[in-house]
Amino acid sequence: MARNEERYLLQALDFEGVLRACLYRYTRNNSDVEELLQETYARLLTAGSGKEPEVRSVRAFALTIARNVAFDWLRHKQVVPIELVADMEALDVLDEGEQVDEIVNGHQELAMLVKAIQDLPDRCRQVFTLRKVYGYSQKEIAARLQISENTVEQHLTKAARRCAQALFDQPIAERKATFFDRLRRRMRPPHAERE
Amino acid sequence: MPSASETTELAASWLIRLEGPATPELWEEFETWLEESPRHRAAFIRLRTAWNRADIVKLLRPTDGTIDSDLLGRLDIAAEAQPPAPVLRPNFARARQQQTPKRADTGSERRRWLVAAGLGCVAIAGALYGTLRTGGDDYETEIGGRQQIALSDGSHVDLNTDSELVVRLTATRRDLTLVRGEALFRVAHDTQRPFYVIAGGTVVRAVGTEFSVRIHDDNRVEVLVTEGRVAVGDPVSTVRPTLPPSASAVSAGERATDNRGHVSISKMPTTDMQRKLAWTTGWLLFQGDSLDEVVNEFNRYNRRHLLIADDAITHKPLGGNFHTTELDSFVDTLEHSFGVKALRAPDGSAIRLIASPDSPDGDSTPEPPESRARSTR
Repeated sequence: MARNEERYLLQALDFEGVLRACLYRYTRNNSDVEELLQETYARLLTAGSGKEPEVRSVRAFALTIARNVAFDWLRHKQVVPIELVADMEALDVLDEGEQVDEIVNGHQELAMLVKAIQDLPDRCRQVFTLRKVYGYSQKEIAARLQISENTVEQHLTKAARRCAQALFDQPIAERKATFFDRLRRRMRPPHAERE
Repeated sequence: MPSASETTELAASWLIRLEGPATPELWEEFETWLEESPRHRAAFIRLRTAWNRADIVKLLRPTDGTIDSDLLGRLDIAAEAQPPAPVLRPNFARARQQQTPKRADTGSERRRWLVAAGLGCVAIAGALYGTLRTGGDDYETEIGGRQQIALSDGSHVDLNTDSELVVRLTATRRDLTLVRGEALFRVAHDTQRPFYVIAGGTVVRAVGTEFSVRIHDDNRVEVLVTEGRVAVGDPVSTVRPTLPPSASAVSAGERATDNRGHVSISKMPTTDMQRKLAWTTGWLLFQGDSLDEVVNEFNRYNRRHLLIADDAITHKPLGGNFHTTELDSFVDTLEHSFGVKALRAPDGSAIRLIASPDSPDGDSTPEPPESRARSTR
């Protein structure tokens, strides 16, 4: 039976918010979370192509990897503030115990996407709409809106990043109030800038 | 090392650039970038997954055919944070209780979209699993058409009726994506460049051999091997389809069928295989096939469709050799030799087949007229 090497990564995308919350505890800033999250995903991808037996809980596995990535990073920085260590000890126990039901139905997913797209600049939103709602090619969009194909590409690139953010990096509160939601609100201002 | 944000930006940019027409050079550049670091691949997979899932907004497309680039801008979806209207849901009594009074204005219109969304998302989720639509040379045949393609590596492809094939040859790989339909591949030997055919969720890998691949209407993928050996299985990765070592080996004289990830292999006599591949010479060869199977085959090659309008003849066995697009001569033969009557629609669109009143039990000779019994190879 073929195993898709992307399987751990693909599953982890669905609780990216949890991974971000976990990483934020160690870094306390969003740009470092981005770095560590990407490294976590890379390691999940590598783990998926290995010969090791199948992981039972991808969630617990991904959180362990995230924590290892964070520890490596802290070690590399050679600075571990005392308060952080205390925090880690207090919180680590809770990760595996919290099995949060985060299944987002198609309706919510659609609503999240549309909201995210509505926040884009007008031109970018129009290009996205023509591409994804109406299925126009990039060339057709360029002709219709009288802009260059290069500009169309730039708009779509921005829209793609926004889609990933909307679908995976959801504040958990929007799905279901959970322990992590409360944790996250405590750890990070609700409108923290990212990107 | 580039920052995470730069990597994300690059991944998104590659995703979008490769949506359009791409040169082999661009692809090689992309693959080089992809191989540089697992972080690149992970970032790309994340973006691609999101971008594919965003196809769900297609559900918002109005059915009246109007195009409005401001559609999403004006859509008030935020007010609809409740589950979709209960009418079409299974747990409908409960949902009804939860339903809060709706605003009177555009509520019903929005709700209609959202109900559609709720129903559609399951189907879409399945359809979205797929490889990135690749750049490359695109070949397409019409209904009844056939195309012979000579590739730059010396391989040959016969593309059957109503089929589409995207070809991408690089220094390290030969990737051919059969988007729909059927094709026969005669692969030029090149151990340095494995030859991959991607058809739906199925991947076939060859080095130098001959085989055909057909995507059936029910998405089954059928592989017939006439020479050498190929490996058939489901891809390990959706970024660059490769096969796991456990993929099934299929040898000359065997047929593999991949039905949603389940590959079964069976032997097939040479004569049967030749009949199955007779389309490469423009012929359809039947031998004891039931009328409904024969009709299905003819309908692949002709815009005018045959319909069996009489259960009594559905499973009638018949044999004979016919040109794929000579529908009228096939219908004549049916009428003369097989106890079938053809009713032609006045507009010429469809031909309905019923049992002929002249031969009530259809007890006619199953052999075609002598002139048609020709060899095809």
